[in-house]
Amino acid sequence: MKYALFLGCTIPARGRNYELSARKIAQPLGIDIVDIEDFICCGFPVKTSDMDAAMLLGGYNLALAQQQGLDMCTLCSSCTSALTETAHHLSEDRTTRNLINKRLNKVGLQYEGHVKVRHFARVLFEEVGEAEIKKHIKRDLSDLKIAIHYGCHYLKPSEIYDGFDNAENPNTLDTLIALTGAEVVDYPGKNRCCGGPVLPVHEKTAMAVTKQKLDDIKTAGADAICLICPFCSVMYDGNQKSIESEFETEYNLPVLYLPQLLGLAMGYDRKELGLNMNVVKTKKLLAGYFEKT
Amino acid sequence: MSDLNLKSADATFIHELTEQPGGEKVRACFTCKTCSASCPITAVNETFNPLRIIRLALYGFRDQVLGSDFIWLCSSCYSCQERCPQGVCIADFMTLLKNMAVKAGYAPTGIRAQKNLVTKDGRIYPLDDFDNKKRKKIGLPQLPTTCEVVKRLFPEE
Amino acid sequence: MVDKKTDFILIVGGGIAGLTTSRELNSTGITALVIEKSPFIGGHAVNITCKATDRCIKCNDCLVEGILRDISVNEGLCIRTRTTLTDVEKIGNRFCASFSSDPQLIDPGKCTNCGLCYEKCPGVERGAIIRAPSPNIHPSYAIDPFKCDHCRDKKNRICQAVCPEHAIELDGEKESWSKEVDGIVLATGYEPFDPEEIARYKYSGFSNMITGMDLEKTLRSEGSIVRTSDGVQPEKMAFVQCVGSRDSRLGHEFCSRVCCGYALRMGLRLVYDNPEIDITVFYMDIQNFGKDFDRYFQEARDHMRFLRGLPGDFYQGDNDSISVNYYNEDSGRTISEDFDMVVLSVGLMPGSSNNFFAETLGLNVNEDGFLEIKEKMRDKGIVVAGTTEGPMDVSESISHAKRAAFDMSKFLGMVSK
Ligand SMILES: Cc1cc2nc3c(=O)[nH]c(=O)nc-3n(C[C@H](O)[C@H](O)[C@H](O)COP(=O)(O)OP(=O)(O)OC[C@H]3O[C@@H](n4cnc5c(N)ncnc54)[C@H](O)[C@@H]3O)c2cc1C
Repeated sequence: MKYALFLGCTIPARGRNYELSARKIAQPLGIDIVDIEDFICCGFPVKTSDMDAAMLLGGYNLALAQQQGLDMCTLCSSCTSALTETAHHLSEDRTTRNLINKRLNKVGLQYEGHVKVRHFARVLFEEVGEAEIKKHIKRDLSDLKIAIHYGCHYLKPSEIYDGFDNAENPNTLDTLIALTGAEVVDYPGKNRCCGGPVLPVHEKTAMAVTKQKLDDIKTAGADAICLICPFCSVMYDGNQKSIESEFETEYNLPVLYLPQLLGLAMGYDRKELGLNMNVVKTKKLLAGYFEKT
Repeated sequence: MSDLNLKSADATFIHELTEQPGGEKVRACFTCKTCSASCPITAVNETFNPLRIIRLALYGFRDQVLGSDFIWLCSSCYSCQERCPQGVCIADFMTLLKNMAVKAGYAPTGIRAQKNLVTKDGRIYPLDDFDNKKRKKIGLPQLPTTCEVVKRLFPEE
Repeated sequence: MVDKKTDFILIVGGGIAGLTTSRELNSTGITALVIEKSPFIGGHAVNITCKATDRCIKCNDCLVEGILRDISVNEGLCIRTRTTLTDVEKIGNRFCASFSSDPQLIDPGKCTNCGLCYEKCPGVERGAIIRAPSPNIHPSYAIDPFKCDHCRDKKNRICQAVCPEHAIELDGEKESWSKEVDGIVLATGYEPFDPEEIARYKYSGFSNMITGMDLEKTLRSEGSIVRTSDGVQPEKMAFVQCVGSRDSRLGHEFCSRVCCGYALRMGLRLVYDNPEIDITVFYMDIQNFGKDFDRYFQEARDHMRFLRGLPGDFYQGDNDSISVNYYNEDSGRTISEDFDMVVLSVGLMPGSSNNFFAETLGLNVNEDGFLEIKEKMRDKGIVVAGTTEGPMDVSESISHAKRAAFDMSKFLGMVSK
């Protein structure tokens, strides 16, 4: 299992805790990570304004991975969907591929169309597998009640994900989290969007979408949220305080990245998983685990 | 938006739309409202309504659609697209409308800023030495703080 | 087994269409054998309920009972249940058909439908003996050898012992047999849509969400409907139309033609039984099929709320209700409204045997998955009857089956010439 790790824009700037924890657990689980310095934006942020530019950015990154003979592993769900979509287009549609290649040639690259794009969680689920992960579990997290936020682009548009998981009724993250012993709490609107993409356009609307989910999660009695996308995390973790003050309410719901939660169960320490960088404090929630070890 | 006049409709608009990726099947819409009922944005902001946008486009209200504030509210979550019984790629259609709006000169500043950042710096959150210092401290590899290749990929920008 | 030298027709499927074809052929002197895979004849239509209010509203349920009654008194008909077609070969002008039959266990010639077996059977709960959904089906009881313990251990055979007519024989064996026939009528019908295929409805996740077929069955057998969760009559119900039909994502672009009719007729009946009940129908557009439909629709609109548009998400509401999210045009808002029960108006999907027939008989399956018979096949002695060809209500299935019988006799006349 050797992958080029694609970080995208948000993670190096606002999701170092995600990156740190993912790298930490990848190694013992047998995921061999290669860093490609030259990777740039995946194209997702410019999709709205210029599809062609988005495709060129995606094609550039795919070509870099191809040059090294590697498939790509992503941490951000938006990167996952943008790159997967571009990869699909470029392998199926020769005309577009030729057009993109004409422009890539100018920087000495050429994309042939065989690179696979896999979200880190998908690699854990499909390639590492439950049995292997189980072997590494050292702490039992059964005291935790976790609400999962799948987010949109890990699963949708479903036609680009070749039948991986089920967009309306997903279970891969449920399965992975259950390995830690934590209780997965169901809540209405589990598949709903975080609202993030609307943030630069209409903050109030974006926050209202996030708020609705926080309300539902709180009502369902969860202790924490687990997610797999830095952009969703910006909404739930980064903006939780502003939502609390804007709507005069209180959640106090820690937000953990999947590798942080798995890493916790695998016995890692607070700092090794970057838990000190989470905005909503996790200290109280996880105090018991760190005292025990 | 209350004073829509069919006289201002542009019949060529729909042809343009159906010829581009995302617009191919939009004519098949039979107004079942599954999209609006499933939309997380409509649920909190009634000015956004995917069905209404589709209908306006089908009637040919080019300027009213492309020049609107509401098309930018789509979060591209694909809830509508996954459920549309007619197989209309609604989220892709919204992306198409936004792309056309940008070409027609209607983009909100936030959207334009994102594209400028990416085509200039290669990322929406440019990195500096301070970022690398923080990365180093926790054992993460260093990342480039400048990006030359985008200038050659996007010479026109 | 009848084995006359005269013309002999095989009818596959003992639903309303297959039975009608056999009755029609029989009346013109042609012998037909109906094979039916389930233990009872009648097909899906025997589960539908009479929807009369203070008067008949033409739902066709009585047509079904009429045909079953006719069949039960018609001596010339030959029906074999628990039987499927396993292969067909063309031999000259005729066909050699092979069958597999599970044992009947109850001899229709001796059984008088007294019901003693059913009364005394200790395994009724788990389905060891089942009762036919209509009293007009003979025999009215069937034994399921896989659910009956005593078929296997050969002890304690209560039903066999109590049967005053000695009609029960639990030792029957599975049987393979074959027969030469002159023509084949395909009347294997449809399958109701399985709502599990649309994940967002979460059909198996809500105890108080049922299908239109569930409601038909319950109204038929119980006379009224209560919630599965608490046995209380619902005060507020929703019907969701077009479940499985007109959905290109599922590859079902066709309209099922019967769902508007059955939903609003059952709605009218529920309102008649309980004028306090509050019924909402979520629909895309109402399809106007069947006799006097407009009149019933008008009447339904006086008593029920019709909301144009299909719902988005369904969540668990308080007190086992179902919270339905839908877009409301008047207010321009998404509304979340709780219903005590939700009925999914499932459509008519292609029968599961269609592909088998297409392969063994060289027929066409159309883009919707239903069997298509070209003129050419009709001239070779193969016809279809009823919903094997596409969605139809009972009365349409009957007319279609009569036409199939006519085509078949025309074909026989042709070959004999
Ligand atoms: C929920 C619901 C409600 C409805 N309500 C009404 C209503 O109120 N009024 C109305 O007019 N219509 C109604 N209908 C439609 C009605 O059920 C059909 O019109 C009718 O059942 C069609 O009869 P059929 O004989 O064509 O098919 P079916 O009823 O499907 O009968 C086919 C028979 O063939 C048998 N069979 C299948 N495959 C094989 C095989 N390989 N070998 C041997 N046997 C086989 C089956 O077991 C079955 O007995 C309703 C339908 C649904 C789904």
